[in-house]
Amino acid sequence: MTSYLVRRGAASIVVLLLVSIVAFLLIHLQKGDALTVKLRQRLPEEQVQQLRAEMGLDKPLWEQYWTWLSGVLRGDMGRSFFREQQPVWDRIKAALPVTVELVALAIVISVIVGVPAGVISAVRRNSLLDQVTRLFSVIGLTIPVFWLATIVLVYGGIWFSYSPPLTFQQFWESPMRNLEAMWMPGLILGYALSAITMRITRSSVLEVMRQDYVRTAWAKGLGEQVVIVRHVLANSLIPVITVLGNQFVYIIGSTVIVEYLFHLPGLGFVAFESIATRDYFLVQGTVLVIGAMVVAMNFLVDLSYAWLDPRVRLAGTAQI
Amino acid sequence: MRYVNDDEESYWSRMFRKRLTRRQALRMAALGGAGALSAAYLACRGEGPTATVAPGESPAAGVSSVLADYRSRFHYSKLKDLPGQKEGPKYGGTFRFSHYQGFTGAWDITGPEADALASFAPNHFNGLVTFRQDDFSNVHNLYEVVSDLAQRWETPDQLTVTFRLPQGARFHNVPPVSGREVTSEDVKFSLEVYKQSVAQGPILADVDRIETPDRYTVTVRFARPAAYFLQSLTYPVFLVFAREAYERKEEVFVRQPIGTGPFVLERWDPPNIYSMRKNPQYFRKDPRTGMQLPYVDAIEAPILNLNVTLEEAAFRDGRIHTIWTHTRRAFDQMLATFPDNVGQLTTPPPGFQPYITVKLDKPPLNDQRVRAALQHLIDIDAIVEGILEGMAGPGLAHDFSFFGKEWPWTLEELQAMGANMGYDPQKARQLLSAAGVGRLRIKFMYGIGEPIHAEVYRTVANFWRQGGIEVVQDEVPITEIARFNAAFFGKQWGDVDVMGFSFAGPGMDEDQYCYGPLNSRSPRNFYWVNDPTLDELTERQRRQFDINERRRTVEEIIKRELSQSYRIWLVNIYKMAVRRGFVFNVVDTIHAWHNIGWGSKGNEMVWFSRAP
Repeated sequence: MTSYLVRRGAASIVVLLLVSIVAFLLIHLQKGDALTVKLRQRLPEEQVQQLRAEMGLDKPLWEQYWTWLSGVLRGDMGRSFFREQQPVWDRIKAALPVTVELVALAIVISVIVGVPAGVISAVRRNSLLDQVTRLFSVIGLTIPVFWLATIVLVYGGIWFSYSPPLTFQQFWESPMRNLEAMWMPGLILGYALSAITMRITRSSVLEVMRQDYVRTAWAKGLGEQVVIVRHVLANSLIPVITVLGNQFVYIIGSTVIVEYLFHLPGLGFVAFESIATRDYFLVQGTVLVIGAMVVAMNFLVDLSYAWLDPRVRLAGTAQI
Repeated sequence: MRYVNDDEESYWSRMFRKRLTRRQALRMAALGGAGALSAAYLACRGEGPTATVAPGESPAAGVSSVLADYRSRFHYSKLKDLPGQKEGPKYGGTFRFSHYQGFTGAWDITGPEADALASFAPNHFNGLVTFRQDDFSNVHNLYEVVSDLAQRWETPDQLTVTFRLPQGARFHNVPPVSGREVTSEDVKFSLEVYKQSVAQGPILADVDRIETPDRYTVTVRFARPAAYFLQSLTYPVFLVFAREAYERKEEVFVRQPIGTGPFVLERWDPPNIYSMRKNPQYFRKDPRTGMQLPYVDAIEAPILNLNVTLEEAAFRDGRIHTIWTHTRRAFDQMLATFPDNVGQLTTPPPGFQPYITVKLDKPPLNDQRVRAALQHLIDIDAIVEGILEGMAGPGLAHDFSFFGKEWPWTLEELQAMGANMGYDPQKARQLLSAAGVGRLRIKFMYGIGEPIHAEVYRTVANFWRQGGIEVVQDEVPITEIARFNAAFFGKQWGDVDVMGFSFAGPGMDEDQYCYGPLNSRSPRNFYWVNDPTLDELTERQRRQFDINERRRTVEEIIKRELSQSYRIWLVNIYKMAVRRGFVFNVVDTIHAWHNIGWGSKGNEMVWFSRAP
C-alpha cells in the first residue's frame, strides 16, 4: 500500500508539472500579452519595454517559467498582473470553495436522482416507468449544459420570475444567501451528471441481477427490498463510483460556462477571465489547482475500489 | 458583505410567495418535458412588433420606417414630460445597475488605464467642466459644456482660458486629504501630471503653462490656439485630485479614489459588486432645480461583465433599474417587463461602430480603387435590415452632432460627400479591373466579443466572397483579445490585410475623430493613414475658433477621407436603453459616458419618484 501511494504521488507530481508546462506554453505562444490587454493604446517603444520589464515579460520563456515554478515550490504562486497585484493564491483561495461546492452539489444531486432512478428503471425494466426514466436520462445526456443554463435564465425569468442573485456570498458567510446562488446551477450540472449516473446504474443493476447469488437470494424467498438493496445495489455501485470519478473532470469543465452564466466567482470563472486578460500567473495557478483536483479525484477513486471491493488490492503492481 | 437586495423582499420569500397553481404546474411540466420545443420556438418565432410610423409622421429620408418609428417613439425629448417629472426630484434610494469590470483595480487615473477608468472615476472625482446630462438636455448636443468643479470660465483670447473655482468645494473626508478644500494649486498639479501622461497628454500638448493667480483661479495658457480644448476637457479623464494623495501613489492613490465627487467608494470587489455611498459634503447643486446633489443615497452596481442573459433576467426581476439592450427584440421585451418602463434611443459615440481598417501601405490595398471596390461590394442596407432589425444606419466615425445634426448621416448624404458607398458589384469589378487586380486574396481579422458586430463582419466577408474575392477570416474571440490588441494598437499586423474594429477615439470633441485617427503624427492613428493633405487639414481645424470655419474644414477632412476610402464603413448601430419608470435623469447620450452607456457621468443627478 505504501509503495503504491509513493508511486502514485510521484506520478501525480510529474502529471502536474507537465500540465503546468503545457498551459504555460499554450498561453505564451499566443500573440499579445498581459501588457497589450492592459494598455489598449500605442505607447512609445521605450515605455512599452519599460512596462514589459516591470512585469517580467521581457525575460526568456524558460526563465519566466522557472521564476513561477520556483515561487510555487516556495509556496508563492506569484501576483496577478491585474487586480492591483493581488496574490494569485488569494484569488484561487476565494474561488476554490465556490467550485468545490458547486461540484459537490452536482454530485450529490446526481447520486440522489440518478442512483434510485437507475435502480427503479432496471428493476421495472421495459415498464412505462422505465421508459420515462430513460427518456429523462437521454434528454440529460443530449442537452448541453450551457444551453440548459441559458434557457433557465431566459425563460425562468419570463415565466417564473426566477433570476439568480447578482452578488455572491460564501456558504460560511450566509448559508441561505449562498444557496440562492448555488441551487439552480447545482441542479443543472446535477441533472447532466444524474443522466449518466442513471444509465450506468441501470446497466450495472441489470448485470448484477443476472448473477447466480441474486438468483439464490430470490430462491431463498428473500423480499424484493432486501434482494435489491443488500445484494444488488451494493454490488452495482463500483462502476457507478468509477464513472462518477471520471465525470468529475467533465463537471469541472462544465463549471466554466455555468459559473460564467450564473456569475459565480469560482475557478472556472477565474480561468476564463485570466485567459482573456493573459494574466499568466493566475492562469498557471488555476490550471495547477484544477489539475491537482482532478489528479486527487482519480486517486480517491482508485482507493475507493479497494474499500468497496475486497478483491482489489493496492499493494504490488498488477491489481489496478 | 452587503447584499444588493438587503432592503428589498428576500430572495426565498419571493420564490416561495408564489404558490404553485395548477397553471404554473402545467407550465413547469411543459418546460421540463419540452426543452426541444423551446429551442424550436426560439429558432422559429416571428419578429417582434411590426413597427409603424405614427400618424402624421413620415420616415426620414434614407432611414428605414422601423428606425424612423423608434426614433420618434423613444426620442429623448419625451423624457422631460414623463409622469412624475413635474413633482420634481426627491432624495433617497439606492440606484442599481449592471457594471462591468473594465480596469485592473488600480485607481490610477493618471496612468495608462485612464481611458478605462473614465467609466468609474466620475463617481468619485470632478473635472473642471462637464456636459449637460439630464432628462431635459439635448443628448445629441456635444457642445453644451457646463460647469463642474469650475463655477465659470472665460476665454479672453485664443491662447488663454481662465477657470474660477467655487469656495468650499472639498475632497472626500478620507485621509490624507481629510475633507480639505480644493484650491487652484490642486487643479494646476493635476493638469501638469496629466500633461505627462499617456492617455491625457496628447490633448494637453498645446498647453504652455498653468498659472494660479489666487486660491480659486486657474489660468491655462497655450502655445498655440487650441479650439478643441474646452470641449475635450469634458472627457471624463481630466479629473482633479490632491497632490498629497498622488504623492503617496502606491499606498493611497491607486488603492482608492479620493476626489471631490458625489460618491465615496465603499467597495470594489469584481466580479461581485461595485458600491458607493453619497458624499455628504458634495459641493455641486442641480443646475436646473438648485437642489443639493446627489439625490440617491447609494449606488450598488453588480459587476456582471456584459453577461447579457443575466442582466436581462435581473432587469425582469427588478434587481437592476436600467438596462442597455443589444437588439430590438430585447428592447421590446425589456420595455414590456414593467408597465411604466421608459425606453430611449440614441446613437453610439462616433467611434463605437463596426468598421474596417485597411493596411494602406500594402499592395494592392494601397490603391484607392481597390479599397473603393471593397466598399462597393458591401450591401449596407441588407446588413441593416437583415441582421440589425432595421435599427442602424450607415456608419462613419465622425461626430455628426458637430454639424448640428440630430441623427447620423444617411447613405445619400455620405454619397453626396463623396463616399464610395452603395452596393454596386459591377462598379467594384470595374474598379478592380482598372487597378489591374485579377484575383484578390484578403486576410480579414476581427473580434467576435461583441456578437452583433461579429455578425456584421461575417456578412461583409460573405459579400466580398460573392464579389469573387478570396477571404481568409481570422475570428478573434474575447479570450484572444491580447492578440487583437497587439495587432491593432501595436500595429503588428503580420499577414493581416484588413481588420474589423469597433473603437476609435474616444473623445468629446470632433478633433478626436479628425486629428486622432487621421494625422500621421497622432499617437491615436492606428489606421495607417499618412496623407499630407489630411495632416494639414486636421492640424488646421485645431486652430479654428470660429465654429462655422471649423465645420468647413472638418467637412473637407471627411470628404478627403471618404474620397480616398481610407477606412471601409459599415453601419452605425443604434443604442436602445430601458429604465424603470420611477428612475429619473438616467439618460443615454451620444457620448455614452452615462451608466446606460459605459460610464458613470451624471449618477449624481439620478433620482427616484418612489421607493423601488
